[in-house]
Amino acid sequence: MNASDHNLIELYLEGNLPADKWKEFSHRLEQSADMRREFRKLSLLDENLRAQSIGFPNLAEREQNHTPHPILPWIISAACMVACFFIWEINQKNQPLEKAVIADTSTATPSAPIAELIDFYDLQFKNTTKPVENIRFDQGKYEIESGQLHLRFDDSVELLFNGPGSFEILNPKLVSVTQGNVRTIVLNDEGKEFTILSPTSRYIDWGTEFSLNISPSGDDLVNVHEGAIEVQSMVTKNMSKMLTRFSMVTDSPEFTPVLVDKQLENIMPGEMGGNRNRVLLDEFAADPDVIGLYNFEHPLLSKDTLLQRIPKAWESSKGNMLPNRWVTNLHLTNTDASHGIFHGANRTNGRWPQGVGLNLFQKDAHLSLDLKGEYENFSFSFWLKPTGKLDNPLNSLIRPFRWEKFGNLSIEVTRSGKLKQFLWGEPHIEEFQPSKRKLTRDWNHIAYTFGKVNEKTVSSLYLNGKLYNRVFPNFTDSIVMRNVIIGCTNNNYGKYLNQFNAVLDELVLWKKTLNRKEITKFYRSGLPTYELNDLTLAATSISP
Amino acid sequence: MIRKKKLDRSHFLRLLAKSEPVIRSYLRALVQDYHDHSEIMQNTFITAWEKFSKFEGDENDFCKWACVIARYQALKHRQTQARDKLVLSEKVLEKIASEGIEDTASSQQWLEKLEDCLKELPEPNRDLIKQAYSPEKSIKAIATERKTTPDALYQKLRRIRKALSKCMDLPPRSPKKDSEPAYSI
Repeated sequence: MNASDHNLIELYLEGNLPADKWKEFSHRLEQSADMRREFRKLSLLDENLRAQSIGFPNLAEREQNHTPHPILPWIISAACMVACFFIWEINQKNQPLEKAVIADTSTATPSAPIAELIDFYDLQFKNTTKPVENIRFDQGKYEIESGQLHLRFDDSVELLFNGPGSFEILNPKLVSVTQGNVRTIVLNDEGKEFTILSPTSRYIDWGTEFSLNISPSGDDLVNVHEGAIEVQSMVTKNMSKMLTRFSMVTDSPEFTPVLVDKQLENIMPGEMGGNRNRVLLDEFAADPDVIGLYNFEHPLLSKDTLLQRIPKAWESSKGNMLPNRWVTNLHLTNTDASHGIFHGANRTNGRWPQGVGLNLFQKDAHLSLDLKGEYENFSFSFWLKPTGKLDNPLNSLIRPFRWEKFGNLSIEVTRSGKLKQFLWGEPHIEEFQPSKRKLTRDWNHIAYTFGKVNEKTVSSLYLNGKLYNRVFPNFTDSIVMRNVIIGCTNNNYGKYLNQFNAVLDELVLWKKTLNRKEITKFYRSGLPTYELNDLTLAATSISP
Repeated sequence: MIRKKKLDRSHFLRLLAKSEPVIRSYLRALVQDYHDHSEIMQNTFITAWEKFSKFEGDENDFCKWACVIARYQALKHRQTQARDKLVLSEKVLEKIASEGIEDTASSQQWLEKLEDCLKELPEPNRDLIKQAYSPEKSIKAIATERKTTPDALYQKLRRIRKALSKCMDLPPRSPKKDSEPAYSI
């Protein structure tokens, strides 16, 4: 028996045999008696190693205990099994066999399923009425009649599925789709080589973002948005082609029915992430550490109530302030942060269907807020989608009305889209910047934290869930954000300058220092906003 | 009647205890998934007990007889799985199943030899095998602990299994060569 046959057996027993090797494996087994013998032997070896690791003392212990007969553990095992059966037989004589099997497996220690259920919306599986929360997403086929499903594989790959359609989980890195809309996002290096199989082709992610359209009987359509993917034929051996975002229809692989379609967009998850995000916002509204929560919807509070928390800069104009310019602070119990008032902006579509964002589209467009306190621990986060050009060397994203004292913080964006943080009175501070990423044209998640870490004050900026830059201030021991302007800055003569045109959504302020885990959680709180990170990212959509 | 049933039960237990590892290993070759494997084992033992009154023969016959039941259960299971999952062809499974029944003697020998082979395995490799087959930790977690990659770990496990497999085919050790391992990794 050759090494390749041996390798096939090993892969099979590990559960790692690729789908395209099954036919070869089956054929080789059928042809070779030697291979079948080796297969039986390795199966026996595998089964007994597993049995020993699960429930039997190891050899050293056995030797120490002078176990007289090597067969004893097997006898104990068999006896236990049969004894269980007799007990079952006595108690459950009239019950069907299937029920006993189910009862027994339910008492087994639960192991983690291959895919973790993250979210679902209006989801209906075929052939089962079982609540989605109770379904284990292990190896197997799943048929969806309607709705959306979000799964996470091995903490490294997100998979969103839009019904109707069906998919099959073959292993943590391999999903076969016969019909349906799928989007996958590879979050880190672990998720590299995550593969989608269609009936005719396989799509291997090598650090990409791409869309895919598959029907059970027709051609596949593909559009690569970033990086490259490898398309392999499932029909013809050793045929593969790399596709990039520059690939045109004429670059479509000739060996498999795949067509490059530049019009194909990523499918957005719609209500699914929106619902999850709403739950998160509800949590923020009740969190005592949150001091400001703004989702930019039309205010529901009366004008008198709003006026009680007007930003200082607008106090003189409060008599003729139109209600639609108010942005309500949804954290109603904490009065540290004012409601917001915007100028030169309007409401537009937010991150989610029916959601609202604030469109800072004019030269002097901005949102004013007022924070009463001085915060030794402070954080904020918001979502941002740039819409205009970055004309100035530094374009103000967030800055106090008066740049005048220790604790004043400013975040600026360079012409190329890089983020900078400044603290008043600390001009020559050394900046640690592990990331060279820039703002993208899609939604970006920006988070800022200030506070002490190991007795040292740290001011950190995060972009899309990852540390962007960090400084260690010498003199600043608290953050003072009185009369803050978001979207531009003003000079001492009251003129607004250095605008940053963008849509804002989900602004949250905390009087605590967020940790990295929390920031990642908030970043992942909803899709579809995933930037192409340093390692890999793939987004696939497959539709019937 | 009750006494006869008790006698039957102890007889069945004794035969099963002797044959269980062979039946388990036989089934492993026919069913890839561990959960399905346990379920089919259970069904096999239940069916064997239900039909035990009709069984006539000795220990070796019992092992083959139970393997026939296991084969039927495995092939029945394959039919339900064939629609949804990647499974081996029925022809292949039939061949493996038949050869497994004809050759239960080899399975017995492999099992006995495996005990010796494991004893000769170097301690770190034995620990690795124990860890890898334990359901508590995934290969990925073990690889992280050992500061290696899952692929490298799989490779190492393959090498160990290959060595064990070779060792299982070796003739029983002569007492003189006790101190020397019969194989190396």
